[in-house]
Amino acid sequence: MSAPRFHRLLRAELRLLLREPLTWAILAMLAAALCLGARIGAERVAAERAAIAAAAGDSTRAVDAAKAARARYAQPGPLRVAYWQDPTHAFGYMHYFLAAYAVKPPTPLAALAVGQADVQPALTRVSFGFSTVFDDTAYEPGSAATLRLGPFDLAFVLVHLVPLAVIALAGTRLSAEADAGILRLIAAQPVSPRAVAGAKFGAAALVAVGAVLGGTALALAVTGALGPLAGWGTTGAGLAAALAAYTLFWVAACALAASLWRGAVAALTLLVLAWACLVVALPAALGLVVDGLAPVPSRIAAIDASREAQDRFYTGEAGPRIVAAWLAARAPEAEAKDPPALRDAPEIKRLARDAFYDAALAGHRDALQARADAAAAWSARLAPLSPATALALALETAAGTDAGRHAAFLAAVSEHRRRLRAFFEPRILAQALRPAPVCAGCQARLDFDAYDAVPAFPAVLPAEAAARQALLGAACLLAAALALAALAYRRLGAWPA
Amino acid sequence: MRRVAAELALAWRDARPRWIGAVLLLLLGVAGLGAWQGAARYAAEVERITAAERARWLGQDAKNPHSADHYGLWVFRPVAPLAVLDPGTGPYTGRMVRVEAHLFNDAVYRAVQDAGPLTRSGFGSVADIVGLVVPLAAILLGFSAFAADRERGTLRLALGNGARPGRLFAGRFAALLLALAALVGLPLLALGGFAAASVGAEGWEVGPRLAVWTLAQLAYAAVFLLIALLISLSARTARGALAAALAVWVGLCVVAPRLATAGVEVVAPAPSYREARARIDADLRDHRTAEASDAQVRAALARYGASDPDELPVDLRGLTMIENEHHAYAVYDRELGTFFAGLAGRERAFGWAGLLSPRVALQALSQTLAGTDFAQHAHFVWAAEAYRRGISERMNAEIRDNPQRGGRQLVAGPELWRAIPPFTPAPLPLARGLADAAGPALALALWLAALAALSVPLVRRLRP
Amino acid sequence: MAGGMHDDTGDETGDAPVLALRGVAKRFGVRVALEGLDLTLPAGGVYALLGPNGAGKTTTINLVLGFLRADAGAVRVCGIDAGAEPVAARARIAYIPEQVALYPGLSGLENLRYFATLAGLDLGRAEAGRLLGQAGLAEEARGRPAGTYSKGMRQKVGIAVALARRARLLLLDEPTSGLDPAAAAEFSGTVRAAAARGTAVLMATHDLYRVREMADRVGVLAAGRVVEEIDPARLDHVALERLYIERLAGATGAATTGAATTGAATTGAAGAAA
Repeated sequence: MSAPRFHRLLRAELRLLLREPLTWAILAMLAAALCLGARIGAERVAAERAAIAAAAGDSTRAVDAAKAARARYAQPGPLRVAYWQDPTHAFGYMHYFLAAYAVKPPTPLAALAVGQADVQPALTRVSFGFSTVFDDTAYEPGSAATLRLGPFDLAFVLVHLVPLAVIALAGTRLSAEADAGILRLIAAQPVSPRAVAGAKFGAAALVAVGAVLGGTALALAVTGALGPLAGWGTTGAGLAAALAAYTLFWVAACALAASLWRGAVAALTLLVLAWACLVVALPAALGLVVDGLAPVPSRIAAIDASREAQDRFYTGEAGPRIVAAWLAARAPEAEAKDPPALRDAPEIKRLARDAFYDAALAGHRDALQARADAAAAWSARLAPLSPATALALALETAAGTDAGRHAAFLAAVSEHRRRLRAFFEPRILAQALRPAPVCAGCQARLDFDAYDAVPAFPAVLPAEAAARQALLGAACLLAAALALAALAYRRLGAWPA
Repeated sequence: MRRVAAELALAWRDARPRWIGAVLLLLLGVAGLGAWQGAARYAAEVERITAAERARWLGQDAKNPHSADHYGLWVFRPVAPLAVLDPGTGPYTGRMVRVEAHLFNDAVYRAVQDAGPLTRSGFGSVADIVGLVVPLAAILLGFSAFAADRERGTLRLALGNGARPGRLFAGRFAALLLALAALVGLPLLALGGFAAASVGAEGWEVGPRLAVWTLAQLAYAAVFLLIALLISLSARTARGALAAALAVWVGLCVVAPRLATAGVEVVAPAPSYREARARIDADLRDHRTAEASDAQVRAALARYGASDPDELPVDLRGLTMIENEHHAYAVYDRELGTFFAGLAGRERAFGWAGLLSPRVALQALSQTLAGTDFAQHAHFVWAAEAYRRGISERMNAEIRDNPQRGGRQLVAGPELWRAIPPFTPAPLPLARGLADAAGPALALALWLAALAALSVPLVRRLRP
Repeated sequence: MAGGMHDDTGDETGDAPVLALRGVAKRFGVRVALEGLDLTLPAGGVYALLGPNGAGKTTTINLVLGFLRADAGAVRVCGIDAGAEPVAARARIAYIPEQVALYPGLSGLENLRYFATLAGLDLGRAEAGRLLGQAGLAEEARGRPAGTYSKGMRQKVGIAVALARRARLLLLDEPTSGLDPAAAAEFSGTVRAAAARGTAVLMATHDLYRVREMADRVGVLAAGRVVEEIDPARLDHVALERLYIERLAGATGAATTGAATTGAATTGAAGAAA
């Protein structure tokens, strides 16, 4: 068939589709769902930004309060400030005043998908305590019922509802004509079934892709859910392509269902069951596979190990020996000083104890980190097996709410804790070894004032990973869509007998 | 009854109930046994570490009671036996609490944070399968009840020969409900009984709990069976009935629940835990400064008319510590009390959101009856906090009542450690669960009642 | 006519008859629907296939349209093998099924323009209106949704499609069943007018009365074969009916006394017609 003739046919089909009130009802519902999803995403991002701003405010407050305390205590007075009340002392500031936060800032596309963000926090306070064993304890309990049912975010609308909209739009094309008897008159015209199907499903694809892409862009624009997109162009284009390919996949599925010539109702039933399998059941099955491939190490075993270490440190003579060994390793020159007094200094004891705990727990922490990495990696590897997970992963990665980013974040938090410890430890140790009173008769120690030099957490926006995942998702989905379309094309070689 | 038996025999001759039953049994079996394995492993781990923690607490060296308070211990939330059937809020709430001086620690380590990112598709537990797949099974059992007869013309034959539509409908519904009850109820009862027998069930009133829980699941299945039958009453063809019923399934089981989450967020917004914690930190921070401590000491001395701590009849450090702790308790009670009340209100709102979708009603009802609802979690958190306060009170009282002069430190031994009883968390009783379940149970009952009411005119208007 | 375009007109044989069936046989499994059917139709000729349900009428139409391929023999439309090149063959055929089903949401005018587009034509509104008028659809009905049309009105839209197509061959499947006498008479006139313009017409029917009015040749089809070919002008419709019943009884009698295949052929054709 010649191109202009097909073009005319496509236009006729487009007119036919747009004449149906059902089309507009579906498009209106889709637009409403997209707007609601974008709004919910925008609200979540706003809340996350507010939390991050509050954390930054808290950090500033802690520094300001420490500076104010320093000014207050920098004069002789009767008050004696205990070490745990003293922000002018490196050890006191580090353990009791420092408000250091590790943050996973939202990406410009964060409103797209809640992803793991409702169970994995974007913000965690870096602490040096060992009571919780692992770093990933912070969470917003929120509402378990909401978490169980899942959020109504854009990812839900795009991954779950868009296929349903496409099925409602295109699921009965051709088969409804067959049911009504119109197909016989169509078939009698000098036109091949492939051309008719191509025009019918092509028109549906044009409307669906236009509505999904346009609706999503409009919803994001109307709700102001997007951040500045500089540097995120490739990701945006990749996502648009992935979204278009996902929509085309479902249009092709509709064509394939029609090509079975079993009537409109059978086609619809088949499509809804295919949707349930691909969008609901298969991702869950893939989840089970991931859990099997990357088993979760026991948190309780790690807690037990931490308590054993604590027990060892505090029972009998082990504790003092551990402190002595630590001191000998960190400050060989301490031997010349008064080691028993140094060993009993609370800050030395604490630093030595924490180093001991760190070593005792290293295996457990590494295992959990390795597991988080493995779960994220396996999920990414298996995601292309279902179009729903392929799209969901692309959306989550662009939103920065994926498991991979969180695993990297947890590793960065551990690294930051080590960095902070490396910042404070030499200062604490130096002061303990060479106690130099800064101000005779002053109320506090006044031996630390490098508040502004404390390293900040290096927050990253994973633009590159997002672009890669978006393009990968688009490629996978396009391949799947083309495969289905080819299958439908093959089957549509002849009119039904 | 004979009519029901006849319908049942007719239904059973079809291969459909058998393969639906087989698929359901397979899914429920895999999910239930997986959950049971996890629960049994967790229970065994908890038992082992709880004994170890108790031994460590009792076996600690002689030391100052406040050091022992800091040494503390870990406590663990016991697993509810019916969590095997419905984990409820369990995976989303922390299960382990570090009990130590000064701090109302969070319950940490939620199963969901260790689950793979793909696992959250809402399909993993027995309850999820009941919520999503059992409606499908009910639809597949019921969609053809009348539409197929209409299509074949046998409905015309039956009605034309004097069959009464009401009886026909009631008989068919009863037969299919019986079949569904057998396909769904029996595996659930078996799984629940197995779980109760193998996971510690003390204090859980497992028998009645399992019975009402299963009843709730069957009521839910009945809702969808009724929906399928009502559609079948009016659809022209069986395939049309199936398509319509599937559309209803998508709407009620997939779309409406998520809309409900958005709606509840508007009606009962979640209180922010971060903000509650920030307020607590701010309050305690002001209370902890050197100046505040100094003022506190001077006030205590003035109260006793003393100028030197050594003149006091009690230990000054113990006294101020008790005062500080009581202040902290008040702050925690105020802030976290409000926070937990807010969350509980939100959970209640979800019960009412069940009017939007039976799946939402069932979720709220099911977890409450299974003993895995938010109230049980809150109960555990506050029980752990009460236990922590008990330890702190005992340790601080020991210090306060044994004044040490000249800056010496009190050293206590095993006798004091033994004065602290082991932590034995008891679940909230079933009666409380039943009271909490009133909202969602009513929502589910309203669904049933509305569908039953709708069936009256549809049956009366039944046409071949 | 505006912009009439046919993509597939390259291989037309100028002097071939519009429709030629030679020894056509069709089976559905073991059931014989047509057996050695011969039929030639020149331009302007009107041929009626007369026969009971299941005689093979619809199978013949499906073969001409290329919906089915013959097991043996040849089906040629203007010299084109309809089985091998169905789209090219259909480019020369206009077909009006027994039930003309239209898009109920579109008006008659819009339906006509849509089906013309399918056939590769670009029909303007005025041209479409003119064709509908020519087919006999009243002006006030043309803009109404086709869902409100009677069978006769829908058929007129079908004729308008045929007119727009300027087809060489018009295929009519039970064209007058369900029409009231006035509409049927009007329809006969339209068909004769088309024939007068040179269009060949093949119709399948069991309406003896209208056959006399429309056709210039009648083939009595029974058990997959033309058992008698009649010139209807030579008989009145009572004689025609008598002949038809005789032929039919003869064919059925032959079938019952003959091989079991003939009976099977009848049911087989019924299956194909269903």
